[in-house]
Amino acid sequence: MQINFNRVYADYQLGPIRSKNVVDGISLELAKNTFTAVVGHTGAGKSSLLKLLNGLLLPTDGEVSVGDLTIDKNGKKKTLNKVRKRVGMVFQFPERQLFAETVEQDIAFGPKNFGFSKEEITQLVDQSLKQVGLTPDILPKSPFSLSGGQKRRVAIAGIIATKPDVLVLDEPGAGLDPEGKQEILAMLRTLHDTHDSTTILVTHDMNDVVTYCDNVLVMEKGQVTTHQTVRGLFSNQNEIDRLGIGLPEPLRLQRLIEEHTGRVFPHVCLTQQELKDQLLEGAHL
Amino acid sequence: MTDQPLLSVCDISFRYDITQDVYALSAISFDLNRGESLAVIGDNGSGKSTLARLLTGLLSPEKGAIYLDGVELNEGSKKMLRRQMGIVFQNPDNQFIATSVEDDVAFGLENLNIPYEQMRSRVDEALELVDMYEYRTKDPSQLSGGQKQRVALAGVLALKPELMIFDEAFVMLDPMSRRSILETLRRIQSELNVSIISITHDRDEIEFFDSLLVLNQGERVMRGKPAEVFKQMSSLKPPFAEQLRRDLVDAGMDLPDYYMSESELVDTLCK
Ligand SMILES: Nc1ncnc2c1ncn2[C@@H]1O[C@H](COP(=O)(O)OP(=O)(O)OP(=O)(O)O)[C@@H](O)[C@H]1O
Ligand SMILES: Nc1ncnc2c1ncn2[C@@H]1O[C@H](COP(=O)(O)OP(=O)(O)OP(=O)(O)O)[C@@H](O)[C@H]1O
Ligand SMILES: [Mg+2]
Ligand SMILES: [Mg+2]
Repeated sequence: MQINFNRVYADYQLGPIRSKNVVDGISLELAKNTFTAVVGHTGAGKSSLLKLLNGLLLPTDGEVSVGDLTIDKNGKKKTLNKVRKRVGMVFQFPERQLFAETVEQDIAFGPKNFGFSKEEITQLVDQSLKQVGLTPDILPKSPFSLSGGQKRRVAIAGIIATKPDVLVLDEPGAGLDPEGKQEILAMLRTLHDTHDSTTILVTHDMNDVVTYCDNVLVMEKGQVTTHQTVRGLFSNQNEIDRLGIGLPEPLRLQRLIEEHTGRVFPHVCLTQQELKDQLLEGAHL
Repeated sequence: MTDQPLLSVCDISFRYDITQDVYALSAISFDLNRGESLAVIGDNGSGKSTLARLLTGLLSPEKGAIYLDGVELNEGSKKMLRRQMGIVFQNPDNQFIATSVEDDVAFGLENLNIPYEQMRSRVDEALELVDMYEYRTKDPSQLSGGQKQRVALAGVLALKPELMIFDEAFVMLDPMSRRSILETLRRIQSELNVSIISITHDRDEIEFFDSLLVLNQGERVMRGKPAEVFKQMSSLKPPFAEQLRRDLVDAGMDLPDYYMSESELVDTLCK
């Protein structure tokens, strides 16, 4: 499903006081079936951009469209309800998402709302639980009695159970152990590919960006400072310096070696495999 | 007296539900010296946050005891001992008390009986360290995720306690800010001789800590220097440089076959 932002502005109105624009005139296009990373410094507006996608934050000006549905400042209930069925969103803090008495009820909530049958719901709950690496013994527990990483997993399971067309994830890897993170992000990529969904993921981990995402969108002070392919961005060191973003570990190590030897590698290494290959070919010698 | 560890955890066990035989922590022991830093790692649900709650007296061990500076942590001593500790919890949302950032950071200092002027300057200095000074009058509930985490960090920095505990407190910072805060902490550790415990899943943070404690399903698996831990526990995912080194050795490159930190690997490759 295609997503468009057309000169979108947004702020968090506090009573009569308007805050400054946290989303400041953004226009962008996310083609259908693309997997996009959103990166940027603390407070840049990443979560706010995501919230605009399902009407949790309404534009003060401009429009956001998700397929043939358009959200503007009026935020019509009917449209918002439809949008929320299309766009599944995993929040930055999973505590904000969990509310039911048991994990089972929590994960089943979405599918129930979508009108799936009882059998389908049971099957969806089982399946998504497995996809996030949890076992059925957790189902009767209260979501509030879980560890941080377990909560994150339940929150992700609840959203993927609804099979949304657009999947929006705000730092889904935060709090997951390394193996869990790798498995869950790989699973999200597989879901994306098999369901032809459109996926948008906020992360601070540039290794996730290069491993799972096609495109990257950098935000700064409510604006999009660049939107391009992942390899395109990381191949351009001047651009990276200008935007002040971090490097994936392989590239950071490559730069350290280059600094040390004074010689530049023939290729930019974004993954461990690429760096290994370059080193075996003697790029550092 | 001075060579007594700042923190002694002696054989503690804990379960959330005493009607069941499931322990969140079983028979955990370790010491932490003054000025020493420790990273705690382990899979989701392995008991790391439970340990943090026990260390701060939010929960009490069913068996065993915790000593801070030789004093046992219990109902009677809790209040006094807590003044020597600062903690950032896994979800900073649950931690804010005041309705402005600066009041929240100052809150922890109010028990310390320090003059107002000094309190003021400690709060400002801490907010500047985490780059949140310009947000000092904001309501903490209206901040972004990373901003919340920074304010919680500032609370601990302003307190300057003897023991700082961070439960995944850097996870929502951008990579450059994370490195810079870890460097700041390392400086404070040596300047003020404070002890630091940091719970983390980020293997690339580990180089900032003196030693590592590995938990698995509530049990202590190992405590040691990163080099020893990753050598003995080959199943544990190591920091990136070590992953790469292993990969290069497997592919036949002539490299020494022992754990290397990032700078060691770079030096060796460039020799
Ligand atoms: N509920 C709110 N009320 C008022 N202002 C807010 C609210 N949430 C966020 N803001 C402000 O809006 C700006 C953008 O916040 P946002 O949460 O979108 O940032 P972010 O890029 O997601 O940051 P982070 O990486 O720290 O999560 C920040 O300056 C923040 O202080
Ligand atoms: N309040 C609680 N009530 C009951 N059980 C709990 C509670 N908090 C945690 N547990 C359980 O205790 C075990 C240890 O949880 P803990 O939060 O200490 O793990 P953790 O190592 O911090 O994990 P994570 O990396 O996911 O944060 C888990 O199985 C968890 O489900
Ligand atoms: Mg955010
Ligand atoms: Mg935890």
